Amino acid sequence: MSAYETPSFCSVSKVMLETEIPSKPSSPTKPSEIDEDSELDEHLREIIRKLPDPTPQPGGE
Amino acid sequence: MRAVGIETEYGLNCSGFNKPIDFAYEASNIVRMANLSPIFRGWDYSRETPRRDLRDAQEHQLKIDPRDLSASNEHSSQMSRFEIICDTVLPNGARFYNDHNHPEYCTDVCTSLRDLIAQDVAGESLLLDCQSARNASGLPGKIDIVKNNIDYNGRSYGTHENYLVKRDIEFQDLVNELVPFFVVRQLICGAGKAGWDNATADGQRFQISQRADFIEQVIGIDTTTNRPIFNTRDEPHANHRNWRRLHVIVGDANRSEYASALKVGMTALVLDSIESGHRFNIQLDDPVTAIKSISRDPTLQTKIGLSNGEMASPFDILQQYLDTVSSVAKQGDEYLWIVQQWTELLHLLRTDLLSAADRIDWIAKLSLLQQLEVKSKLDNNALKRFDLSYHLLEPKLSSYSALIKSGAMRKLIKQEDAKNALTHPPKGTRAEARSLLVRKFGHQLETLNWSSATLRTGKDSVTVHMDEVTGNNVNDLIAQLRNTTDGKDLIHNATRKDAG
Repeated sequence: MSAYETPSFCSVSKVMLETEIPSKPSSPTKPSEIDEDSELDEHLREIIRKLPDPTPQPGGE
Repeated sequence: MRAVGIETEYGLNCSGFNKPIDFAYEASNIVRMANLSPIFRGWDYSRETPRRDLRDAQEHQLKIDPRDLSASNEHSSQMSRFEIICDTVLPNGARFYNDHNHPEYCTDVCTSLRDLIAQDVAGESLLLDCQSARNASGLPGKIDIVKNNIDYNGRSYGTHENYLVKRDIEFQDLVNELVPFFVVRQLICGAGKAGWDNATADGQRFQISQRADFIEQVIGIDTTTNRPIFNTRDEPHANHRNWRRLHVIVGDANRSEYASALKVGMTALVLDSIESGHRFNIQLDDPVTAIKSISRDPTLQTKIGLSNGEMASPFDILQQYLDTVSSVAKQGDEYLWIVQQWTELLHLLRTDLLSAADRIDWIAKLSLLQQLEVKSKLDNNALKRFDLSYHLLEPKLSSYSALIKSGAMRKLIKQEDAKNALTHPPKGTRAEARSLLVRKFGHQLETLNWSSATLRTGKDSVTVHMDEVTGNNVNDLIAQLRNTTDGKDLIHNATRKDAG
């Protein structure tokens, strides 16, 4: 189904709630529940280590 | 929903360059990499009025930021203006070009939230493809495209919302009713900012909004400096007598599709209420200070001053807006969805902040940061890289993508629908007419912009007007374009009509 054949946004929301609700609790990163060795955690640490510092860019608009 | 469009300037994070970066050249290269067909190159600027001010209907000189980056022009100095700007009209009727040395993707107006978010996310998909093509092209260096509003070095670029508003609404009413809303809506639509730079108070490790640091006045026409909460550009790109285009520059670029939909949906409902005569009766004492102080307090304890001397929490103000828009009789699933989400998120913000991390960008980002900082705090450079990663389009480098992949954030648009939206315009809007013009008569198109197109064969030409964005005239035009096989027939029919 294309984005435009959907009967209504609300129906989409209902479909989403049935099929795309997060598979983990919606607040998986509350400090009290942290698994410090989690895969996501390690993945993000690696990204932060590898990324270059942000480039100075022109202002826009 | 009323007619709304979103324009997004993307950032270019560059690495591996051994010379100063020519951003004009790089931004135009990115646009040129769009591998879609058919497209139309060019744009008719004759109907643009970016300097015309809503307050006095006069043209004003726009200020230039003296603190802006003085970038290299090694390559761009050899290019024509046409080559640098690289104006492109896409098969979905959207515009893609180099604006102020940032690749900018602009949807035309949509009249459903789902269409609008699909069109907006389609832009992310396009830019990611352009990034891949550019980095595989053999050009020096690597570019990572960023959907955000800051360069982490004290400069900002914009994500603008455009709402068509009836012109007979008093200008001052719009200002009075919208400014407090624009100050507090960041609680739901702020993108979050980790780390501090020249634009931020030193030591501000985290704040709610990316744009708040760059807001310098309540009302104004400028966009590149002295940025206002309420921008007064009077350029409707539609029938000037009937419509204003409310050009909202105060918002953040959202990765969360929920936040993006609510940013637009909530604002549209506030505008509906204003147009139907409702007033919110909230006046802030100092909106510019208020937007910054709210942004700089992610604990949400800040109260802001009202013009009557009292103090109010941003929750209470958002609740007051919600109560009023809920009391205005409306129908439709979209309306119900917006009100339901607004109500639910406001409750979560008051009671269990981190539970809203599945929909609100700044809370998702804050949750991640708290997780990463359990053992030790990140220094300012690491904070900036952490923030940058959330906004990168490259899934392998993006913490937002990691959250999506892990199931921690909700989505509204499936990837295949976003891809589809790159080649399919929102139906029943003038974008569909523009798309048909590009698809069927591209070789005969002489000029094109938001509200008109001119086709030419030899000495004969016809100008197609698209001053209305939806409705019978638009539907008639779409039907006529569908039923015409050659642009010559359009020109011939128009000439015959004129002669008659």
